Amino acid sequence: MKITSSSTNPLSEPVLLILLSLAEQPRHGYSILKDVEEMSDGRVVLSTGTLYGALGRLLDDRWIERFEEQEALRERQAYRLTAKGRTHLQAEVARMKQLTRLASLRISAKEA
Amino acid sequence: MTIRLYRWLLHLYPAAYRSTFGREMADVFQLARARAWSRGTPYAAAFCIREFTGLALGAVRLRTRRPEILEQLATSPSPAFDGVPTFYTCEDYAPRRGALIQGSILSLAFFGAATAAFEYGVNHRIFRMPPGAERDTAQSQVIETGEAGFLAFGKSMVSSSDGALVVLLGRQAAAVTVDVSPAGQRLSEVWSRLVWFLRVRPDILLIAPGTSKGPAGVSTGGYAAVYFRAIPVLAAMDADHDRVISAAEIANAAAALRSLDKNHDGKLTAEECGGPVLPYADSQSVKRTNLAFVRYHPVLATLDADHDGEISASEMENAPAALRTLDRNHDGKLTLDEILPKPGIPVQ
Repeated sequence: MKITSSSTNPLSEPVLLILLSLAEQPRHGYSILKDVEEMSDGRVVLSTGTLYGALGRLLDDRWIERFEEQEALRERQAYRLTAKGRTHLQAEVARMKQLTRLASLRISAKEA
Repeated sequence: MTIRLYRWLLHLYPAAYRSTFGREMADVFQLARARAWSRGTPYAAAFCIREFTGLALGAVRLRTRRPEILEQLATSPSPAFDGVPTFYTCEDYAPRRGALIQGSILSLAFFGAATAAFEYGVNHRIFRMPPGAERDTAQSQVIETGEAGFLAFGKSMVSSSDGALVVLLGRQAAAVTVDVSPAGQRLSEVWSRLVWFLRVRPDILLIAPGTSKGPAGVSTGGYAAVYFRAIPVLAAMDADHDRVISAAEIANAAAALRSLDKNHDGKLTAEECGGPVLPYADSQSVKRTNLAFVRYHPVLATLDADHDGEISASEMENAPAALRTLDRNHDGKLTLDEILPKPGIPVQ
């Protein structure tokens, strides 16, 4: 099995935001772009090249899948999270939660 | 404009990636662009910088994944074709079977057409120009000559006469003399000797006509001698073989010219003046080539008053007066600088 960096390393912020965007509902490219910007309060603005580079890698790893939206234009493919992608996302969120908890403990201990 | 540029820049990506995401990316870019434009110039500028940088970086990132692709190719099981070689491309996709068939048919058609054109050219020794390029037709012919005559091709001419060969490079009007004795051999043999000569003598000397001395101390006397032999009209007029047409020789020009009229038809054709022999060419090509030959050489061009490519009986009679018009320095005789083709004048 091919092991890619995205399946072993912590996710980058843009990739995490893309996955979170798709966790809520399937979206097409432009919708993901806007949702990522809104979720980050305008801090993360993806370019089209960056977005599709990330989508390509996630498709390769089968974390997301493409499908055609009903009554959509031919080129407006939509993307949705796969079960594998959802598992990895949950694992990543859990890792972040643990990290956040640890960080809170350390900071509060220092303040005390 | 930016959309068109973006679509064009998408070609930085591998073809397989482009076919999967290209249209989609262009569509998203168009929507995002409209949104950025509606927010004002600073947003539009930031959008452009972000998009084009992202596009370039994305392409670089994908292209640098090529080692992975090569690795996949090396490790992927290849289908067993008994005795049939297989090959791979560096792209991460395989061409469609239909595209391979179409490509094969196109390649075979092109190869067949090129071979047929080459064979036609070899057999006919005439390379015709397409319609609309008639002015160049005469320049583009390859014509087999007899023992003495001109071979015109491109903007250059080759003449063989008495075992010597003259190459006149039209644009530069430079010349080289090559001894190809013994005389009387076929031009193809002469030509092969010239090719051999050029191969063994890459430092071949070029002598510019009209100059008193060529490079490396080679005098134009040698060139003039060959030129006089190549143009029988000059050889006939130059009775004392001093490469100068004196006043007396000018006065006797009509008789000298008449002596060249081998078939006694009262006129001198371009062929009788040392022009090309055109065994396979049609009448139009013959006429154009003869005109080009006569126009190129100052003496012949002067004698041919009506510009029909031939020297008629009346033009022969009028030869002394016509030749005197070439005497620019009015010394009563024609010297090399007044006879040789001018540098820079193309054969046409």
